[in-house]
Amino acid sequence: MLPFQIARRFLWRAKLQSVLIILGIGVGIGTQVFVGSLIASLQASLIDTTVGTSAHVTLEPAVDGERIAYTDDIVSRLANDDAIVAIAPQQRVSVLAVSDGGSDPLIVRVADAEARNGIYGLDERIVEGAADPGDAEIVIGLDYAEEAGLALGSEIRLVDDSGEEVRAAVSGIFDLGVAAVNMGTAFASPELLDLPMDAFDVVEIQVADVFTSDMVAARLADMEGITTVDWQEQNRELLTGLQSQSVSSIMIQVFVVIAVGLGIASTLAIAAVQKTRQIGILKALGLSDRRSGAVFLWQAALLGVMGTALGLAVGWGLIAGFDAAAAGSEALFPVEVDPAFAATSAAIGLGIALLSALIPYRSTSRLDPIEVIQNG
Amino acid sequence: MADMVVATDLARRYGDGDTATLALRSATFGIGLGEYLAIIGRSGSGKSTLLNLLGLLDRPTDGRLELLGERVDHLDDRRRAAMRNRHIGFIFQFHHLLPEFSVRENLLMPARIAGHRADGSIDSWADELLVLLGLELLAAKPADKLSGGQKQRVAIGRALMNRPELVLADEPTGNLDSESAAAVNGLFRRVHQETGTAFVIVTHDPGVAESADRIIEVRDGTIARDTAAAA
Repeated sequence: MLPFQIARRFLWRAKLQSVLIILGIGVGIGTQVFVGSLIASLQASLIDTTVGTSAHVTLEPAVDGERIAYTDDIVSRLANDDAIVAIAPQQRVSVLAVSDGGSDPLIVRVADAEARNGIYGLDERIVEGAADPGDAEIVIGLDYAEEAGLALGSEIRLVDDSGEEVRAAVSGIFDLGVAAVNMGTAFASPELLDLPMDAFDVVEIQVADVFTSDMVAARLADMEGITTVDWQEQNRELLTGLQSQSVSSIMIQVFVVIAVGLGIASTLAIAAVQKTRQIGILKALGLSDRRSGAVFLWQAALLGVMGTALGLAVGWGLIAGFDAAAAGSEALFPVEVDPAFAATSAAIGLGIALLSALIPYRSTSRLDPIEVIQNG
Repeated sequence: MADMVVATDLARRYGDGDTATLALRSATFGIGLGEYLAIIGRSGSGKSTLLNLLGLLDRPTDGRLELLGERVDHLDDRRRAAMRNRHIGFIFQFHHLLPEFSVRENLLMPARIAGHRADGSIDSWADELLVLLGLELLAAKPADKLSGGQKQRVAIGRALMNRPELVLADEPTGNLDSESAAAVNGLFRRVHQETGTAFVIVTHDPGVAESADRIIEVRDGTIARDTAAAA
């Protein structure tokens, strides 16, 4: 493996230059990992805040006033769709909530625990009490609790359209991150409102990729007696904002990759020019064109591997620093590293380094040892 | 003496048409195994062109060249590189050692290029060469830390590493003071006698030329004198 040993010696001989090149690649890849993760996490945070606790696709009865019979066919269709990650069949009852703090309209959602957590993540968003209401209990939003001066154990009277009234004690307070939802939504058990659970007012669905909700809705649209509504249709401006953010994210990353690539390519090209004399001598001694070029491929591979490893460490360090700052601030969001993204960034760094080596590889193949020998 | 190198009407032209320059024309000669030969001539006479053709660093535009019975003027780059490595040793005017490597590593480089791993026979031959050239105490020293004379001795050792049949030296004493030049010339003769390797030395140095068994003089791209042929 002579080309590898020569490459290693070349790099070792020019230690400072090698360190600077590795630092350059490292900072570039580190920036790419950090910026990419930051933007991805920002978008995830935005999506989570805006549509993370709501349905992405909603199945509603085709005819007003009817209910959705939750048949085995529907259950099977939904369960077998890989894009769907959460299904929440539920009853929605509009009531007037009367307490010592006054009267407020509320939509009481009645669903089982799995459905509540699948869409709303209620277990994780409870700030006081418990997420699972008992027969005479209700879980309310933080903003409503503050507005009406309610606390755990407070009693609320729920009056429906027909004037029927039930009493419920507050057993939990949640914060879904959206004031309007916290103000107008509550969760109760079927027993509280005496509701049958064989048919539903609505089936809410969340999908893995929120931007594919239109395709999922289209797939489910042929179910009899059901209409589908997807969040993108109802939130055009929000969708435009999120899509613009996705495009700008990709553009930023592309430009970072281009900047890193140009940096690596130029430094490797300079390193190759500096070793022209040595390569000419080696060729005069009988080293073939292929093996001469391989010296620069190995150089690029060594620099690429070390630079990329450093870059991953730099990226991880920056993210850890950001997360440490975010932990103490409500204005910041935690940044998470997607291993696939980090691996892709590393592969891009290494790939760019190897591609960059093709320039000196070609020029080495054309190098005439006579030029080197005669020019000293 | 059997001819190891046979050059027949060897020519090298640079450029085309009106701007063409004939650096070497109709050179016909042979070099026997174990010969000690000097090529002399003024600057620009064509002697370096001839040396580059003999060393398979360049291709003739006309004529025929044989090395060890094999026609080599039409070989591709890969085959020429392999032939250079196995059968020809080079000693350049500017030493051209690799500064990244030690004296011993520079010496071993042709063997490494040939694919020989550092083993007993290669190592012992390298040790012999180091002793022969008086470099045994400098073996581990980086090549760029040597004096001009020491560097030239390393270059001689490197040229002999693969036990080539032919060593080509281009102005080997051109950059040395007279004392070092005399020492290198004496070393050439000694190595020639001890190894039986043929030496072809391009030189301006009358002392080096006079010590050769045969002198070829190149003038205006032609072989103007070949003392062995005349003898």
